[in-house]
Amino acid sequence: MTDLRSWLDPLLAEDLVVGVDQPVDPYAYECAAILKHLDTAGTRAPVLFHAPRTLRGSDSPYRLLFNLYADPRFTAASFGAPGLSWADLLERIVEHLGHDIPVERVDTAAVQEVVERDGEVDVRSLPFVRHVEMEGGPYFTPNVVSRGPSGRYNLSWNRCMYLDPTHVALHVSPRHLWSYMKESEDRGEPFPVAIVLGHHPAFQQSAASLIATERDEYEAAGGLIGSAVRVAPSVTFGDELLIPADAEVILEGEIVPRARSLEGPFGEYMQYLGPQKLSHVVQVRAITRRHDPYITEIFAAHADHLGACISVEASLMRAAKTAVPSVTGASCYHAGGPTTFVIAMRKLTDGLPMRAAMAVIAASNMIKQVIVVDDDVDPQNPKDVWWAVSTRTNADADITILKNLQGSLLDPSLGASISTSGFIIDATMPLDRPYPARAQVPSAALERHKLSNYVDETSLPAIESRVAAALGTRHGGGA
Amino acid sequence: MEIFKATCPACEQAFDCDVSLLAPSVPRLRCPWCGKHFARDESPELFTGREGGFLAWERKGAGAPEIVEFPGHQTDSS
Repeated sequence: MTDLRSWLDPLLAEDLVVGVDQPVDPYAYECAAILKHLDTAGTRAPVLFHAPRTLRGSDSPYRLLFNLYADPRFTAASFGAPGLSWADLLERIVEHLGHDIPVERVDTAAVQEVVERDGEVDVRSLPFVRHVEMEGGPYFTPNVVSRGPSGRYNLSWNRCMYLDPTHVALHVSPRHLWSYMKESEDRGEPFPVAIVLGHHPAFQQSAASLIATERDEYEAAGGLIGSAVRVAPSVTFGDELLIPADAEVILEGEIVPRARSLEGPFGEYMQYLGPQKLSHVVQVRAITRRHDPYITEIFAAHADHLGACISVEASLMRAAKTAVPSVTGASCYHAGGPTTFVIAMRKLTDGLPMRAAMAVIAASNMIKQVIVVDDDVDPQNPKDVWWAVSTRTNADADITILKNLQGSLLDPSLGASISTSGFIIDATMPLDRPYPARAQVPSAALERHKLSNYVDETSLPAIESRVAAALGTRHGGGA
Repeated sequence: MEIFKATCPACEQAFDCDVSLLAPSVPRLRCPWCGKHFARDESPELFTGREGGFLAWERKGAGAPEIVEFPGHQTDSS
């Protein structure tokens, strides 16, 4: 069985998690302030609040866990691969995304140890959170389980705002969940969902992955986790909606057809406030949980939020690799940006960079700009990427402007319309003429003349400290 | 997304709203600072009469959604 605890307990045992024992009020930004202070101090380990207050201000059985994704080392551990670099982790996720594992159905679900049904439900019993200034209300950042018209399951990651004791609002971008809800809404029918407030990080990452609608995302999650996702009938909808049995807390509910509510602002992964808007309304029909549940939460608009997008990045790399197998690497959040993607590839023929770039553009409305570089350029290193753009690009031939793309609702550069424009920069070397060799010290010389033969390497930090004291801290410059 | 800045008449704090909230069908906004609902200012001329870009595609099919007003969380502890 793979659940949150199978990842968290070893970290707790090794004392790798920051614990906060005293009561905190997450709605009053108390968690956010502590997380920000830790971030400023350079600590991005998971942070566990043992005594978060509920929205009613009372004590609760819940524990709040942040920063699952703020430090890539913990993300690597969640995929059973501690020590992997970000680039290698992307490769691993790409590999796992291709291997679906059928679900295992169970009769007893840990997440149903405690059940509150219609009439008993009051979501104010939960420790909702505010993350950044101006947020429109108390929030969670859960995964949402839904079932499409084909019967296959969809997992998504959505922001979820408190409305009243039995209602929450969900912000839904126009992708799979949105299209399923819309079909249901057009028939005037409520749409069942399970709002999952805590599961293994790899389960959460499967919710962020871009999976084709002909695949079942529970099965894709199994591939990512490395074992079957255990599922059980929901207490509200029975077999019509199977829930992840090993989750920590679930809100079962129905999206109310043709109802919208004001929702937002909310701190988004673009690191801007997503504005107040109209969002879908969920009537919560049941709260199910473990006796001593954890709730996992993203520290919105911070490193935790960007790190949580690693499987988006891996999915887009997979799309590029599927189109062009000579793709060797990719980056979004390190060298690109929320809407800009970098692809590295062995350019075997002209035109391949554009083909790989178009595959990424087509795969998601989250990306509108792509830079393609050769495989001697590190796509995770923005300096290297911009060096390639600077020295291998002729703008008139190598920059293609794309128009009338469906954009992201969270992109502040869009106007009132959802359509936008983008570009592809082909920063690869031309194949039809020789190109200058990249200036570098011979690798054989580096191998032969080790630094330790000439300089005491342990003395280097002290030298740097003396230089900083005498000449000031280094601010950029150099290559 | 395109935003406008709304200012709450009660607490006089400003906040960000999507321009789709300028649609005539959206009667009130909710201040994230003090939690009060209020009628939004008159739309800038640019948006008068428009249902907003996002609402336009959302309204296809089932028709215009009903806007339900919830009290939200009323204890301001910011």
